[in-house]
Amino acid sequence: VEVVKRPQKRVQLLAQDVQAARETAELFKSNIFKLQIDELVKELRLKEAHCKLIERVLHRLYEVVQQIPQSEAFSLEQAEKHFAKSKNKVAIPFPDPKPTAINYALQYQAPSDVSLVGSFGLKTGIQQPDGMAIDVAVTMPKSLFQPKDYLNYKALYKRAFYVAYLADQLITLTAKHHLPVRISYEYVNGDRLCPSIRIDSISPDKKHPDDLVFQDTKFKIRLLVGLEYGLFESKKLLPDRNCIRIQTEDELPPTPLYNASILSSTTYKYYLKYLYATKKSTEAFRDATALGKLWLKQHGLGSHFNKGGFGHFELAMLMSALLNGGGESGNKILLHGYSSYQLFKGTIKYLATQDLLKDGYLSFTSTIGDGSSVYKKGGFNVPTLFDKTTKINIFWKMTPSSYLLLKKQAAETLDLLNDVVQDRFRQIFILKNTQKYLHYDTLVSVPLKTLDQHDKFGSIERIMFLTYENFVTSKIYRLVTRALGERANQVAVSVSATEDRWSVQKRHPEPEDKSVEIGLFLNASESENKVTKGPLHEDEENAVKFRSFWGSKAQVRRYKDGNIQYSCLWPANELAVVSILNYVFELHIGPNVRLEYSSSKFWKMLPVPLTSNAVQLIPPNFQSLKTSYNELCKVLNDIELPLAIKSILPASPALRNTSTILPVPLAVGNPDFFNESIIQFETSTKWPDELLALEQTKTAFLLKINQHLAENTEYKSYLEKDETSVPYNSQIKTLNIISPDGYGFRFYVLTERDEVLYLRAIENSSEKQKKTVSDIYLAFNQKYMGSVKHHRAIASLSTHFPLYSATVRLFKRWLDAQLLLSHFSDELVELLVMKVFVDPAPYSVPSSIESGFLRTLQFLSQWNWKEDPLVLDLAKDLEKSGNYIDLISDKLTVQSYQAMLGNFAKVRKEDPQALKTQFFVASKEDLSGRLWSLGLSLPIATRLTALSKAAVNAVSKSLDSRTLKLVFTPALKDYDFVLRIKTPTEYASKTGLLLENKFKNLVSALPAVDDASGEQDPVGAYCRELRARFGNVLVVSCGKYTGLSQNGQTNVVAGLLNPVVAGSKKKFRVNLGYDVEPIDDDQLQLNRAALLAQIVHLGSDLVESVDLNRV
Amino acid sequence: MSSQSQIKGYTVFPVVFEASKHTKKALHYMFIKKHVTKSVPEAQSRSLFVVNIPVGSTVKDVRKVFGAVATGAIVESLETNDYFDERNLINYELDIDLTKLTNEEMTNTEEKSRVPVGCAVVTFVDKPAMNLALSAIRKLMAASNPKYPVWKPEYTTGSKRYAASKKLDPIQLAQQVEQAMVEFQQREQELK
Repeated sequence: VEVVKRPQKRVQLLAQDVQAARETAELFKSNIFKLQIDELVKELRLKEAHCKLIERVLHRLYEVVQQIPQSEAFSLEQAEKHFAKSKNKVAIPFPDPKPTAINYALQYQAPSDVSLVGSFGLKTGIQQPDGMAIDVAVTMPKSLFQPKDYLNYKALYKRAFYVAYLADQLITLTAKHHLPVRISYEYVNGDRLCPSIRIDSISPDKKHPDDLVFQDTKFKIRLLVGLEYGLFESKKLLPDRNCIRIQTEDELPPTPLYNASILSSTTYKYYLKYLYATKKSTEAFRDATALGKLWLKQHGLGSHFNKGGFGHFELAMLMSALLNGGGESGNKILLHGYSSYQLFKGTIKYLATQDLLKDGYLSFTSTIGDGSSVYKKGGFNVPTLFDKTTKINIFWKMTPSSYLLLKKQAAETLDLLNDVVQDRFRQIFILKNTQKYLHYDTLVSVPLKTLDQHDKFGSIERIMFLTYENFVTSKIYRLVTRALGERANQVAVSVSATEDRWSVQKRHPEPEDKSVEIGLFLNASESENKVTKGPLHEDEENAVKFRSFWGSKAQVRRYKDGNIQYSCLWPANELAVVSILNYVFELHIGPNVRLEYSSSKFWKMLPVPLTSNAVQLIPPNFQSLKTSYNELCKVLNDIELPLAIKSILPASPALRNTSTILPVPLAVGNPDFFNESIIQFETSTKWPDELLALEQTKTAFLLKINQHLAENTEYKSYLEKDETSVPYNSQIKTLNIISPDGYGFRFYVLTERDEVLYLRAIENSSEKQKKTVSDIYLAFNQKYMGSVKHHRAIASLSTHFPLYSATVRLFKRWLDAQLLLSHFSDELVELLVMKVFVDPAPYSVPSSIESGFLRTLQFLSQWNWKEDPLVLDLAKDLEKSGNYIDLISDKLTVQSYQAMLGNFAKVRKEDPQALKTQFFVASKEDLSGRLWSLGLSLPIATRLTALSKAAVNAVSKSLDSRTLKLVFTPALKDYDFVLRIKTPTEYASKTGLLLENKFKNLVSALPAVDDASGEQDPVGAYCRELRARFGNVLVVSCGKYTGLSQNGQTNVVAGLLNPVVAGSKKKFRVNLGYDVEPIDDDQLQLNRAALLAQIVHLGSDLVESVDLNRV
Repeated sequence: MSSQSQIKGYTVFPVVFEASKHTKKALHYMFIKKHVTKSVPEAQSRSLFVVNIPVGSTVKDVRKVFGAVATGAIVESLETNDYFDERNLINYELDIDLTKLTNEEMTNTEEKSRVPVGCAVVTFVDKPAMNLALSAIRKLMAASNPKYPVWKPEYTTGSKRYAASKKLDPIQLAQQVEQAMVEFQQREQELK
């Protein structure tokens, strides 16, 4: 590398270059994006035939509505009697509180207007799997109202009657006019003040030729009963006004939900016109809103209260406002000439970066042709997009919590849109993020009835929150936010999804067993802090608040820095978040509250070590091992040898916090007891110039170290043969060392000659040999170089992502439960799990064990290995550090990304069906993409996908302990034969594990050993021998850790016959390589009985029973 | 199962795997013929070439089974090539020698005859012993109610096999390494 003389200038140049490259890439990507978007928008268009049919339906419905006769002006009693007498028995959907006496009439008169509104009216509707709702606004005539009807539910009661009368008439008239439908009530976007009429198509038993059936279109129609625009003086209904008068001694609180609900009912058609004008003036508006709609849908967002109150309408209104301004000086954020991509991106960027909650709000006018909008400083602590013309806050259904979630999702999407290296189209528009277990880090659910807050839901609360559920969720939101503080980045509280539709014979939906669901996005570096710190002891004012919130948990503690501070301490054997929430709910809500956590179930699936059962993100076992390792390295470095040690580099899961089983001293039964390391000696010209002789020289060095340790230290050590790391190299020896504190380490030697010689072997090999010799080189590279680079990258990322360690350990546990772990290299598994951390879209970086685990499964269940290379950017996220030089040196570059894609193309060109290489997992540490999946067979890869799918399906239905147990149970019936293994001794404690039914204090210390190799779990070695001997006939699977079984003594070895070998007849050939029997003059077939006999014979006393499924 | 006694010029030689606690009695088939190479023509051969030898066979196992077929068929030695490829990276069709590939000059010039995978060469004490074995097997195959010999391998199995110590004796190993180094240096000297 050229030495840089004027670094300053160089950096500037570089920055400019990068900037130019960025712009080019952006432009280029925008083009590809455009093509993808065009394609997508085309696919999303509604079907022509469906639209034609539905237009006929709407015409007929219109005719039916026109025929509805006017009603009398009823009193409340008369109205109720009227419906009681009628044959349809409809109930009037009065909002709470139900009126008891009214001094005005309830009446139906022909609507002053019936028109299509919503996205169908605007012609921006898109295809949706569960069908699309077509909104028809039926406007009540002005003559039915008095100017003061906006007060005290009057207008709403009148409308409720109107809705009931309309429903009653429609039931009768649609039947008569050959429009077979089912009529029900439905709250508009969950607004309990606003019932509408829902019309679904049905197929009559006897179909009349004139019947219009539209079931196949999956369309449904909603009749929104609206009020005339400008019916009430809108400033009386401003968000800060009170419109429900009750008797109280306190000042009447504002009723923003009530006010906005009434005003919104007057603007159905008004806003349609406004949006239509925007559509006319902005060519790409239609497509941009279609993209927006899809984005909202894939993120589970919608206009409904329960979906955050931000849907297609709100997005379209925001986009319109931004086309008319939106900047702090009213400058335009979006331009009319923008493409759909630019409009979408601009809107997302605005949502992501502009604060419409605390810092300020967006104020606009909806006057057509004279619109303006400006960002104003000073927010209301409610998300606000305020229409000065109508006096409506368009975001009235949003809460601070739902707004912050939207903002977070927008920010994540913006990052994806700004990615100049990889194409992110799929993550933005295709992948769904609507599964609640996957969406949040953790989900806590509380049965609504155990909350029992009815006595606190008084008349003031009633008019502020309208519903008990709103009141409770708001209270819980405040409680949880306060209790968790910095532990949670975001808190979302909602009531479990409910059906808004209900029978017309009921005033409101039947109460159900609902739950309050608390979705948490945790702050990984804070969430498991076992101490909650409060104010200093002398800060009396805050101390009072702290004590009143935390009750008896608030204690005064002295810290090392001399501070005396109020603090709460949380127990070590439970997740802190769980302890805290249990505590504050009991204290502030009541003793009967039952909280259900998803997290704790997942933590329980992690193996418990003999040493401690504390729940810690990174258990101390790892640190003890590292300390011991560092000591040993010092000892080794100090030994006088003919050549000095240059470096000792670790390459072991337990030394990078990713081992399933935690390291425990003297746990020699653990197959991973010895932690591998590579010793590199100083450069020398004396290394032999031939591979096997070089290996002998390395052994000589290991023998010297071995001797030194035996003579001068407490370390126990011995040499062992390694026959499998590098095939054909039969001379590799390793040095195994057990430290005085009981940890095991294994050393391999690498010299600067090795790689040269392996590469030379490739060069010297014949055309036929080349492939195999290249694989030998790859195997060498894996063991000696790749493993070290991988270790370094993962070790650093595992401290960067606090939840990575637990997630990867649980995932390995799952793989082992499914008998897959022993097929995979630790490295490959770690990279697969790392995917959801470094490339989390459409989710966020996991900050809990279950989000990490479930998202890994979800990713694997959806990934198509044949088509898609997995390219990981293993650089730490330095974007936020703002260190530009680090950024460009470390992050994935377009060049290396393209190089990896090129390698993938090559691999697939040689193997188009992906029979040899399924997994392509590349990173800057391995551009080849196949280092860690070398030799991994196709059935194993497809099994991983199938099992992930099954697990995700099971979990998406319910996430209780039973499901989870099922997910961790292997499907043994899928194998041709299963050997049930029972080892003569128990391996749980030998592996360092606490047996399920044992208590820690009953466990005696593990005995010291000189030779750990004789103590190891034998099942792994048995399984490996079966693989080595019968691998060309069978796929052999087993549990990697016998110690993890319930009694620490059982395991299974399962075999799946290679169908090609098992089912075929072969001509006689000398070197078939597997056990055959003759069937005729010159043909042979697999000898299954003899094969099984040999397998069982090798296992001998280990085999307890044999299940034959298909052999 | 088949009563085939010859296949492609090989004599079929079934042996019995006795029933165990978990498996039924099974027949295992070997295919044998006189071992003939360029350097050892038929007239001089006292070896049988065996296809499909059971895994992990030792000279003791082979000795026992041929002894059971014909008392005088005394086996002297056995050369096998077990299939043993844990990671699916070995190609048994090819002869790959890392010494040769990394430093051709250093390769031992002694020609190593390699037995194909899954096969064996069984060498008898003399030619009559071999002939005796072969004809006894042929006779056995022709019999109306043949009683095939039982194959009972000698190798350690089960927990003993898989929990065996892998510790290498440092003194022996040191000697072996030293010897290899001396040989290497000698060859190096010769080249100079």
